[in-house]
Order: sequence, then C-alpha cells, then structure tokens
Amino acid sequence: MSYTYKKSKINIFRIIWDRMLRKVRETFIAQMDSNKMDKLLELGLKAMSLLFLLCPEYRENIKGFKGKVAFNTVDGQLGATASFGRFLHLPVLRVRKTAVSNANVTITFSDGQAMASFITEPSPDIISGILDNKLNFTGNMNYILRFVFLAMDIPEVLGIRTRLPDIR
Amino acid sequence: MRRPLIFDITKASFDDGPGIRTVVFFKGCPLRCVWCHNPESIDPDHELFFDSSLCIHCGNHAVGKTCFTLARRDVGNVYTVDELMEIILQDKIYYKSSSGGVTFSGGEPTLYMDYMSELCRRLKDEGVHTALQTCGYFDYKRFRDLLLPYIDLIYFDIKIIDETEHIRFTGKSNKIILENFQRLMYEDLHEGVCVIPRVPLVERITATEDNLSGIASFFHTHHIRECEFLPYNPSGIDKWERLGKTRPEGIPEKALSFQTQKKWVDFYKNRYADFAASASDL
Amino acid sequence: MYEHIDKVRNILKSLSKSSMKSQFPILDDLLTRHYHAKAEVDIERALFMTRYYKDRTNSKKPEALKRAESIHRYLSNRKICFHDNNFLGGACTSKELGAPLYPEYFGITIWPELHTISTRTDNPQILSEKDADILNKEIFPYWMDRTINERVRPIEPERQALFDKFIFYILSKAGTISHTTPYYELVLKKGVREIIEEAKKREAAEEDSKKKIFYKTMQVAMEGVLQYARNIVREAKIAAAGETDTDKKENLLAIAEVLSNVPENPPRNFREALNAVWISQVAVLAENSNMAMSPGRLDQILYPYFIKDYNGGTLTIEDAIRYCGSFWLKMADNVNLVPETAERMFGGAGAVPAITLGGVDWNGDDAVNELTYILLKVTELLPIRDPNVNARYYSGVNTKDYRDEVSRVILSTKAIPAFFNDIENIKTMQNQNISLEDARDYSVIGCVELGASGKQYSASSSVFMMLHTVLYMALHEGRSPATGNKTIGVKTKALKDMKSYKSVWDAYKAQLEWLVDNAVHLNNSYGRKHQEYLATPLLSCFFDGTMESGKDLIDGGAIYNSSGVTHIGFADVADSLAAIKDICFNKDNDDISLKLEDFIAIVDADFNGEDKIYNYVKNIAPKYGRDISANSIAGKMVEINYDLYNSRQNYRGGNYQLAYWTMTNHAGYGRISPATPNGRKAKEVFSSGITPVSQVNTDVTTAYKSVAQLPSNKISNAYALNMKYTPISVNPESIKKFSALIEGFMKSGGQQVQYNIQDYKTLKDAKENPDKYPDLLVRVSGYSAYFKSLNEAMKDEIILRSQYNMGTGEFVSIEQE
Repeated sequence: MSYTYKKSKINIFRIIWDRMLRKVRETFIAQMDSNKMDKLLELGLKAMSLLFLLCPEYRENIKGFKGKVAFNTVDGQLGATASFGRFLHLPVLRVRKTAVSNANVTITFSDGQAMASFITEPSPDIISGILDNKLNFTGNMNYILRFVFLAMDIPEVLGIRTRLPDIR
Repeated sequence: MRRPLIFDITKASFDDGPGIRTVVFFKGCPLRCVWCHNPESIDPDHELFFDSSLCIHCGNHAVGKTCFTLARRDVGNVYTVDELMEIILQDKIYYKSSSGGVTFSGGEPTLYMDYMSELCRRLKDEGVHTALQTCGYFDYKRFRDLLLPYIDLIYFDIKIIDETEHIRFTGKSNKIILENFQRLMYEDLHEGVCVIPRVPLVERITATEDNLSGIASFFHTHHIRECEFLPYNPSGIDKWERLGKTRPEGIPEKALSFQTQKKWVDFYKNRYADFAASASDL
Repeated sequence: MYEHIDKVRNILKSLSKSSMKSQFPILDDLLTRHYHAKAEVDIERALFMTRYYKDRTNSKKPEALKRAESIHRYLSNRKICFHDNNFLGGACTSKELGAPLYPEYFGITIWPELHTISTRTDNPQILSEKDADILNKEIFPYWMDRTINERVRPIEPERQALFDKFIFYILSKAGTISHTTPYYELVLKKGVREIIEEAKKREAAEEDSKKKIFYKTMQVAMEGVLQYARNIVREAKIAAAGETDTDKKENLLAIAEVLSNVPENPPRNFREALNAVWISQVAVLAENSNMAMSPGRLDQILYPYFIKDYNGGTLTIEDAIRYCGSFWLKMADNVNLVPETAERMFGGAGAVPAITLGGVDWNGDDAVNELTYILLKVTELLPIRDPNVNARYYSGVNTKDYRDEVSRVILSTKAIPAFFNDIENIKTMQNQNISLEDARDYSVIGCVELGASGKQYSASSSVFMMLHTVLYMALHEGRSPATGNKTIGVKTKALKDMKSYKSVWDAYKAQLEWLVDNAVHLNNSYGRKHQEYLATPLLSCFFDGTMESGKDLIDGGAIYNSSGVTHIGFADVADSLAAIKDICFNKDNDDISLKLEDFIAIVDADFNGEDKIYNYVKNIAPKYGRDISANSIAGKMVEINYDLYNSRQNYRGGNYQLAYWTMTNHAGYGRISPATPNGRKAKEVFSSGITPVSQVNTDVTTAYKSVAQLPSNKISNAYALNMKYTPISVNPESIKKFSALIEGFMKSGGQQVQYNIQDYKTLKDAKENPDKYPDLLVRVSGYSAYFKSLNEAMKDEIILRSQYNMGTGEFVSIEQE
C-alpha cells in the first residue's frame, strides 16, 4: 500500500502505538485471572478507531464501508462490536461494549484466552482458529477478512514494515 | 517326505530370472560359504531373528506368542505344498504378462527333493515357469529323476574352482558340484531346460585371478559360453547379530563397486578369449 | 492404420533430454524460464469484472448477460503480452506466471494477506502495492457481499456452517465451475464464427426467453474471444516491427498470421490447430477459475491436422515437438491463487489441466497414433508440473510397444505420465449410463476423474468427503473433533452399547448418510446459485448438447450432467474398522481383546502409554493392502458410498459419480486430525487417494491386488493409486518387466496407477536441501508437483510412502533404509 507519511507524523503515531500496545499487554496480563478480556478487546478496537480518526490514509481503507463485526465468547461473558460507518462525511469506527445481534458477522471464541490470543496474534488466522476449535463464526466471513486486513494494516500505517515473526 | 522350512517368499522380483517372479527361499544349505548374505538360510531348523532396538519388553517373548513390535521374527515356516501353490499362483497374472514364474532359492532347495518334485510337477501342470538356484551339491540321480523333468531354468553356481580353496571358504569339496554340473550338461540336457552357470564375485575369495582363470578354463573346456556374475552383496551382514550368531571373519563389509565388478568380468572374458584362441590354434 | 508409427518412433528415439539445448534451444530456454518464474497475482480480470458489475447501466440486465458481457469486456480489453519466444499466441494472465484472482469465488480470501502474500515463506505470490490497493479499496469491497458462498450462506446456514468447519466436507463449487473436459474439437471443426452464426440463428428462431438469452450470451462471449485474438494479431505486428532479432520477429509475425485465421475459422494447419485449442483454453479460464480445466485427448483431436501437414511435407517431427512443447509450457503459465492457510494445508498444487493420450477410439479401435508418441516424447523432454499427462491403455487393442513406451517415460521422468486402464474405466462409465461410444472417448479430468470428452459436464471435484470424520462421529455418538461435546450428526449408540462389529458399521453408515445428505443438499444449493449468478456461456459453447438444448452448462445443457465426489481418509478408515473388528469383536483373537470403549479411549488418548496395543494395531492387526479381512471392509466402504449417492440427484438432473483421490488434502487433514484406531497417531498424515496406508508391510503384488479387487464399477470417477519404487537402471529388460507389472495390475481389475521412482534417502535430502533439487517432480495424488513447493506435511507424506525395491520386489521400510 502506498502510504506517504511525513517522518514527524510517523514518530507520533509510533509513540502512541507503542504505548497502546504496552498498555494492551499489561492489561492482558493483569486480566488473565479476572477473566475480563473484553477490556482488552475494547482497547484494541478503540486504538484502531483512534487511528482511523488520526490518520487519513488509514481511513481510506474504510471509505464507504458500512458493517458490523461482533465478538463474543461461547459463555456470553465477553463481547464487543466494531461498527464501521460514517460520522458526517467521515468514515469512522465505533466501538460498542457488547456483541450486537444484527452484526454482519459474529466471531465467537471458545473462551477469553482464545479471544486474547487471537487479538494479540500478529497475523490472526481465522481458518486455523476454526480448525483448532478456538473460534466459530456466524454471518459473512468476508467481513472478518476485511477486519483482519485492517488490523494487519496498522503496522504498515505506522511504518513498521518488518514482518512480525510467524507463529505456527 | 521331509517338510522343508521356508524363510521368505518375495513377490514381483525382477532380478531372479526372466519376467516377474515369485522367489521362494528354502532354509538349510550343505555349504557354509563365508560370504553368505542370507545367514538365516544355512541352518535347516527354525531360528529367530531378534532386534533388541524394537523390543518394548511386553512379556510376549515366549515362542508361540505373537510379538507385537516385530522385534522377534520367526525364521522358517512350514508350508504344505497346497499352501505354497496357493501363494505362488496368486501372481499368475503377472507371470503371464511378463513371461515370468517362480524361482526356488535358499538355502538349497534340492535338499528337499520330494517336496520340490511334487511342487514343481504341479506348477508345470499350471503352466508356471520354474527356475532353480542351486549350489550344485546334491544327489544327482535323485535330482535327475525327481526334479529335472519339472524345472525350466537352472542357475548353477560355480563358486571356486580349486578344491582346497572351496573347502576353505565353503566347508565342502567342490568335487560333487563339478561332477554334477558336467553330468547335467552332457547327459541330461534336454530341450526345454536351460542352465545358466553363475559365479559369485567376492574380492579375495572368488574374485581372484587364479579362480577366474580356472573357471574360464573349466567353462571353455565344457563349451559354456554364457555365465552370470553375482557381485557380492553385504546386505546380510547385520543379520548375523539378529540371529544371535557371530559373523564369520574376513567377509567384506562393502558391496563390490561397479568399476571393480567390471574389472573382474573383463578379466574373466579376456582369459576366456585366450583359451578360445589357444584352442583354435591347435 | 497409422502407417508412420515406426518411422516417427525411430526419429523420436534420437531425441533426448540431454540434447534439448542443441536440438530445441527455444524449448530449453522456455523450460529454464518456467523453472525460474515467480508466481504473480493477476488482478486484471477481477478489475474488469468489478468495473463492469459496478456500472449502474448494467444493473438491469439479466444475470447471464452480465456474465457474458463482463467476460467479453475482459477478453477484448485485456493486456496483450509476449513474455518469451513461445510459438503460440495468447496467455492465461498478464503475468509470465500468473495466479488469476476470481473475486466472485475465493479471491477475496487473500484480503488479510495483501501486505504479506509477496513475501510469505511458502510459495509466495507477488502482488504489487498498487494492485493490493486496488483490491482493498475497489475490488474486494464490491464483492464482499456477493461471493458465491456468501450468496449461499443465508439459504443454507447450517450446512454452510459444517462446510466452514472444514473437517466434514469441502465443496469446490464455492471456488469454481470447472473440473471438466471441454469440446475443443468444435472450434477446430467449425471455428468460432460459425458457432456465433449458429447461436444467432437459433436466437432469432427461439421463443423461450431464457433460451433466447442463452443464445445471446453465447454470441457475446464468443465475440470477446475473437476480439482477443484480433488484439493479439495487432500487438504481435507492433512488437514485430520493433523487434531486431530476426527469429523473434519472424515468430511474432507467424503468431499474427496464425491468429488472423483461428479461432475464427477452422485451422489450416497443425500450428493453427494447436493455437486455436490454446486460445480456447485461455478463453475458458477468462470465464471460469483455473482448476482442472482439462483439454482432453489432444492426440486425437489434433491428429487430422498433424497427419495432413506431415504427409504434405510441411511439418517435421521436430516442428511438431516444438509446437507441442510450446503448448505444454503455455499450459503451465498459470497457478492457483492460494491464501497462506490453504497453502499450509493444501499447498503445492498446480492448476492441473489434464491431457489424455492413447487408448481406444469411439469404435473401440487402437487410437495410439504418431502424435501419441510425439506427445509422450514432449512429456519426457518437459517434465513439468502442468499439464497433467495421462496415458490410457486398452490391453489387447493397444500394442505392447505402446505400453512399454509409456512405462519407459515413467521410468525416465521418475513420475509421469499416470496410467489408466481402459477396460475397467469404460465399463464403470457405462455403468453410469454413458453410452459405449462416449465411454470409449473418455478423457481424464484434473487428477484422475473420467468424463465423456466434451459431452459430460462432470464437475468432478464437487464434494470432498472426510471419511475420518465420519468414523470419529460414529465412535463418539455424533460428536466431532471440531464441535466439542455437542452431538452434531446422528446420535448413534454409545460405545458400551455396541455389542457387535455390525453396530459399529451401522453407526458409521448412519453418520455417513447424514453427511452425504448435507453435502448433496449444499452442493445442489451452490449449483442453483451458480445458475442464478454464474452462467458460463463461454464454456457452454465448448460442449456438445448446449446449442441443441438451448441451455447453459450449469442449467444442464450438456449431454451428461454428473457431479463428482471424492474421499479423504479411505485407507486409514478401512484399517481402523478392521482393527476394531479384530481387537473388539474377534473371538479367535488370542493375542489381544479389548472392550470397544476401552480401545477407543486408548485411541483418543493418542495411544499414550499403551505401547503394546499401539504396536499390535500398527504391526499385527489386519490392513487393507495386505489382509483379506481389511480388504473386504475397504470393498464394503466403496459399496456403501455408491449406494448412498446412487439414490441422489444433482441440481442439473445428473447423478453423483464417485472417486478416490485426495490432492494434498490427506496430508493437510492428517495434520489436524486426532488419532485413528489403525495406529495412526494424532497429526500424522492420512494415506493418499485409494493407496493402502504407508509402511504397511506387504508384497507389492498383494497391494496391487487389494486395490484391484475393489468394485471398480462403483468408482466411475476413478482413483489415484500411488506406488513408490527405488530407482532402477532403465534398460529394455527393466522397462519390459515394469510394463508387464502394470499390465498385471490392470488385468486384475486396477483402474489407475501412478509412480514415484524415488527412494527415502533422496526425498529426505530434497526436504533438507530444496536448492539441490529445484525441479524434482513428484506425483502427489493424481497430479504432479515440484517437491520443493509442497507444504511440509505433503513432503513428509511422500517420503513416508511405502517403497518397493524394483529389483528384488521387496518392501523397504522407512527405518530399514
């Protein structure tokens, strides 16, 4: 993707992103026991949402995109929704704290841990998740593909070009 | 009738005669060739292969119980002629498509003349081509009467021409072998049976200038133009250990290289040509 | 009848791989380029299609017409490239080695990988940033609500959910309309112009509106093909004008000359005929995805042109090899677009267009002609992944010489071609109500499937049925490994209530029936969505019956309208059932006796800590390929599959035809499957195709016989039997014996067999040092692949396959070597 950022801008994003990731990881570790993984998910989605707001090139990815991707766990304990739409004429991502019922696709994780590992995976692999019985989905699979692309585009946007190590 | 033990039956062999062949390996041999690559073929009695690396000490060690890991394998099974016929005839379709058949090997199949006689007679009735690989050490009369009528092809080993050397490396004199060979070639060679002499090539034992010269001379004297060479094959070396026996000393550990093999075959051919030339000079 | 065979064969004898460089420098150069070419994602078609469909002025048109017009637009506007010195004009994509992206199918699955597909470790496919951006912003957003599986999902949520789980069945209709042999002969006999004229006349005379549209779509699509050919002519002339190399210039002008005549009119010579077939193939792939679209019996359809030129003195044997070799390399100019996960599980496959040689003709006479031998020589000189070359053999009609020659090429290339037995295959096709004449004219599709050339729309990869999952469900009251504790299938008896082998078999049957029912329903729903959205006017032009019936291929316009089913895990399941019978329900078993629930608990625990039982199952229990009791279970499995599908119809009014080939699925699925009762531990690969489980110690002829005794009349789409032999010196005697071995297998009832003449050591070395073996070609399960490009599981599976010593006939175990 041809992103052209001014260097200073990149630095700012990088710092924000690094902080965010650190926060995410800290929260993740802190919450392993409390079994409240939705904070983590919410945080991740919010970071994404913020990036859409701050970065016009990243925003280009969701121009004209209307759709909802919902996340939850089998036991129904955790949930969130990424809702793509428009605010005035700007494409935005709204984050909801529950899994809405009218999403285009709902990804259901076997448990909080499966959700956490999916979210923190550098290249989340939906098919492996399905095969390992870690996740399930109802609805349109292509919305997941698009969502995963958006997640994987973040390092690109931030200029972190190096490919993260493969975890198999 | 003495019922032989058979230690292996391999199918679809390309190497043991014309066409596609089933090879039946008999257990028991009158010779004790030090280079023998089937040491399990020597003793006519039942033996065991034991591969300790496979054993999981499951307690099924007693004979008669099945060894689940195949660490212990029976060497030598009894087959009635009927049973063996059935196994051999399973591949009839392949014998037909390739002009193949069955080859009896060993060990020494002629140790079991009566059994072989019945088996081969019945195979001939079924139209199956029969081949015999023999060391030549047998009772000629019984061979001629019982076996020869039902054999299409005989691979006859001439290993060592010098009697002392023969005794040294195989444990037996070659007198009977050479006699049998001559009688077969002169007295009983009828149409429909083909004899191919074979010479094993074992460095420093059979592949020596003296031995190959001697064999060339012997073959020339008896008008034998074609013979096959069997390059030494060390694949049997580790079998000694699995049989719980000590491997004879002095046997080579490596296969004969292609170059060395060619060297000895060429040597033999040159010597043979020399004899032929000197004969025509006379 | 074919008077020049001896003469031609004598000339061919002097041509060998070692003299390629001097005798066929251009082919040698093309081959080197092929080996070095890097796959690139080609989005050109996707972009043209998307822009057409997004154009609001088209939105009111009938779907079939949209399809025809969008294909027309792509064909008549696509970029024309001459990447190399190939003698034929036309290319499957705009890239030298292209992976075309079909957005209406699975193209969208690479969305998450747009940044990484170019650099991933396994078979990267190069995608420019610009193209990735177009995909992300323009193409994928349009199709995300319109891919065929998302159109099916709302009407089949449960069955689609089973499909999404992957472990029950896979339906290829989500990815393609393909796996068939088009009637390319038509374009030779009539030319495209005449086909268009005929459709025009029929359109005018037709009253049924749907048929009228169909005739219209035929014309629109075919006009696109003509425009494409005209564009090549134009560009070739321009390129020639700017070319300084005289050979290249001449070739470009020759291509322009050839395509000024074909495919519009019938070819005037052999080169034109070949190029007409190639353009037809390119056209069909512009419409339908590049999966197993098989040109069929080239030695038959091209023969009249070959012999005319040869007799007329205008074509030498060397020329014929040059042109045919060019065709071979053209066939290899495309690969499938594969997302990374799929690559890991199923990777390494080509596009598998199958070519069929030899056999008998419609009348049952020997069809092996001079061209057959020439194409065998081409196969030997160019041992490449695609096309997938298959040799038919009719014992007693085809000569032994021919059989020996095919055998020689196999020994020489160590892999290709595959052998097909006409006697059994024609019979089994007849059993599916295909006429004797049409059955005799069968060609091989994709991996191994059989179809009446140009008459049967076979869709032969419609369903992949996972037999190991069926067995698992039968042993777990309908639960599956991917659905946890929930009963998803039929709630069959608990293990402790299964008091006989019959109750195990009944449970297996019940689960199978349930899955077959779901798969068939879903396949038919996919078919109906195809009918709604994915008309195939172009492919329909290349089928006998469509013009007369006025029906698109997917509406049942062909003469025969079958769908194909293949099976994964066959041999492992047969052995598993045999082991259960032997261990749990055999009173005569003195060695071991376990309650079913105890045995399955051991299996489910991956045989952990149960070495004794594990070894018994692995070494002593009956096995398909060796023991009669297991062979008979394998036979019953074939029968029950047949019975279940025989009573079902597909959406085109045709039947389901069964096969046993696995591509790379048996390896990939093995990696994700729990242990099976035959001593296969969790994550170990399954056996390929119909092949007995690897490393089962058995005689080679016993293995052949076990396969040959399966009821071939119930396997009308054939199977892949993989055999591996240690290399042997290739001489007249070894060739004759090897050839006679194949004859024996066929005489005993075998349908198909293919070989890898490789040993464990070499293959292991090739896995460790891929750079040492850049072009090592292996047979997978019905197709060829470069060993280096296979995924790890598949490499391991090929290494693990039982190896036989061709000299002694002995089985060589992997530990032994």
